[in-house]
Amino acid sequence: MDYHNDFIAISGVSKTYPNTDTPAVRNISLSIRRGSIFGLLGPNGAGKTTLLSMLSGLLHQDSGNIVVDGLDTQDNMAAIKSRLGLVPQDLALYPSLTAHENLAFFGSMQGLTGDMLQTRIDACLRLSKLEDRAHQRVNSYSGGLKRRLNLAVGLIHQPQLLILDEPTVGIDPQSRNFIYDSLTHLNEAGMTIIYTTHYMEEVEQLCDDIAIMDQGQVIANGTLDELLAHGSARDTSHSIHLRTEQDIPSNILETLRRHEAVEQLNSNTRSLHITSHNAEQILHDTLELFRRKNITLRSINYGAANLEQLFLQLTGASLRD
Amino acid sequence: MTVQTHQILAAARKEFHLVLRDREALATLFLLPAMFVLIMSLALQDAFNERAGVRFSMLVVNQDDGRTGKALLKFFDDHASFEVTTGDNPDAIGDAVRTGQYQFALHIPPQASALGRLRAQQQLGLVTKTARPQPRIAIRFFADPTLRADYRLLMVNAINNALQGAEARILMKAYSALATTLGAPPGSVPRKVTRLFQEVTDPYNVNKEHRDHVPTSVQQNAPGWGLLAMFFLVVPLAGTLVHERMEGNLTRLQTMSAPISLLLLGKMAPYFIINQIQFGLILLEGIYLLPLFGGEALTLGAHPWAIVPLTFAISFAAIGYGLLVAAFCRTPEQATVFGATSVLILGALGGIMVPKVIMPPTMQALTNISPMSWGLDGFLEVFVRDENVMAILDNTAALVVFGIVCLGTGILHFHRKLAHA
Repeated sequence: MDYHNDFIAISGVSKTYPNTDTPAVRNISLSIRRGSIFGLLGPNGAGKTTLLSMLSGLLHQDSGNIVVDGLDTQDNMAAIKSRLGLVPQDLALYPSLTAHENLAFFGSMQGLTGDMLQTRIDACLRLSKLEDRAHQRVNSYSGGLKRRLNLAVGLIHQPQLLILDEPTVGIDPQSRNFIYDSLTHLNEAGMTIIYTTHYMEEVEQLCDDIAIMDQGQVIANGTLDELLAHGSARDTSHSIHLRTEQDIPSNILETLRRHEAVEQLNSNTRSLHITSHNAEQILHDTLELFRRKNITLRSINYGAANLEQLFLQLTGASLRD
Repeated sequence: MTVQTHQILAAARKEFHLVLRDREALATLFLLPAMFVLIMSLALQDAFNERAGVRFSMLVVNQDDGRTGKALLKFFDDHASFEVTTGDNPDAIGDAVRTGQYQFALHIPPQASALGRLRAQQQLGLVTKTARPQPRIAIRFFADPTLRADYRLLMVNAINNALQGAEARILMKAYSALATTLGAPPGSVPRKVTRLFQEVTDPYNVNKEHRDHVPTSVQQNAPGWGLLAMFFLVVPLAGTLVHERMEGNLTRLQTMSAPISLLLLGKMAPYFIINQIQFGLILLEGIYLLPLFGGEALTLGAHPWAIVPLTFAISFAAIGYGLLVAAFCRTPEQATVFGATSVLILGALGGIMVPKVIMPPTMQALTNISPMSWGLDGFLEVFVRDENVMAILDNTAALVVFGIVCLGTGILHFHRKLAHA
């Protein structure tokens, strides 16, 4: 492991819950690069939550070591806690408090006081674009606004590591895109992000590195390209993943959606994921559209498999099962 | 201010906001007990107030024109426990009592005095022995069948007491006449004698000053319902705590710098303050509001400040119990239903709803298992017996121990549950 580049180093970690025979996590070794967005995929019961719980100090491992930013979780959890922010899947908020009051409470629990607390509250409200509704009670918010606040609470103390457990469950595409963009910006600012989800497209769009877990073990691990390449050797399906330097105009998206070769299209402000039975044609047409609008490509992934198909191959089960 | 203090204050502020914005919780904690104190104190005022006593409505149909009838009527009229109405139709008495118009009725037949005199004279041989013996005069007594048996018995004793007085007067007159007949000089025989034994009224006083050691209605109900209200904080406390656990707030908080014990400490502080406000308002209601509705004002005894440590201990016990309920309940609904029901049961057992003094001995012994009984007994010691803080130290200590046991068990179970969440 590279302790200079790796923000998190997990080696030989196992965990078995009391009164059970099967380990929830079995001898996992994994490293997460500093400043990366790390996607953790797996079906229910794969051991993702157990792994994240050990990482964030909620559980102790039975064996093995977890080192975060050079600090072992067994001895330095207090110091590690100040470096990490958790965004749980549940809306871990107080509905009868306002956004400001929620942020103030959780900020205080993180040890922030006085001007620093107020500065961070303002910054988080700005980031989540909730300034106008800061003093409205959370129970009057839509699902999307609650998700934004849920994210903002995880950021209140400016953590170096952000752990997100399915942060986009049950929200509209607009709010989902907002969260993607926020995470992209945070990552660009140097934050390391661990992202668990059931949605393959999210991982494909956001994550630099991905680990797939099943039955307490990591069954595949690598960059998106590496995993897709691994999948394309086994499957004949086609998918294209494009990242751009500029925002993708809506008329391009509309044109592509109407394209006869497009089976499925998912988009973010600066990324595009297309599944097609005629990938060569659609790739040609998309690049032509980008050229006309002077859109510069940042990256392109073209393969005969996507993560979902890869997951099916590896585990024999759908992620959404 | 240290970071820890700031964190406790932040948790307390959050908890205050949660409770103060929960209208149902506020109604449960403040409005309901205030209503109970008002209604129950007024409703049970007469039942508790021995001095005023229970006033029975009584119909007296006196057809006697002599002194016996007048004496009986005066006896009941002068008695504080009877509200006497006179009537003249003996045939209507049965219906009037049966329909509940009067609780008791008395019929004094015509010539009761004259016939009584005749019977006394016959027995003393002052009239010819050939005359037909005069039978005993029947005074008819009626009682509402729904009345308690002990009230009826008390009434029978009261009537017999009055009749004995009337008999004594008639007999004294007859003896006086006999003595004159036997040659005693006129005027040497008294026509009446004073009583031989001192009349027994109140029980002998064991206290340093004269005072009835029976609580008034408000002395029983104000602390009683106040106690119940304080324990009702279990509902919002356990509800919010279970909600926090279910919604992942506690999981999130566990990943933060503040230890979970600070959060719990911050959670306890507002409820402790709310408890003191609750009880203070109920005392003020008893002292100032109740008299405006015709009730008796609450009196706090000679050492009113003695209740302060007791109230603190009750609050501690209630908070501990709330945490225990939160630790063992899985959902907020479960916490609400179980919390409320268990508090009501503890209240019933503790003599809040049914005063301990009117419970049968077995139930009275059973009340000792309820912490509310320990609290209520402590209040009554101070309010009714003028006791000081030392006299209720065992009640206070028992409540503190109860609180510690509940808190300890609750926190242990809570941590275990969070570790496996």
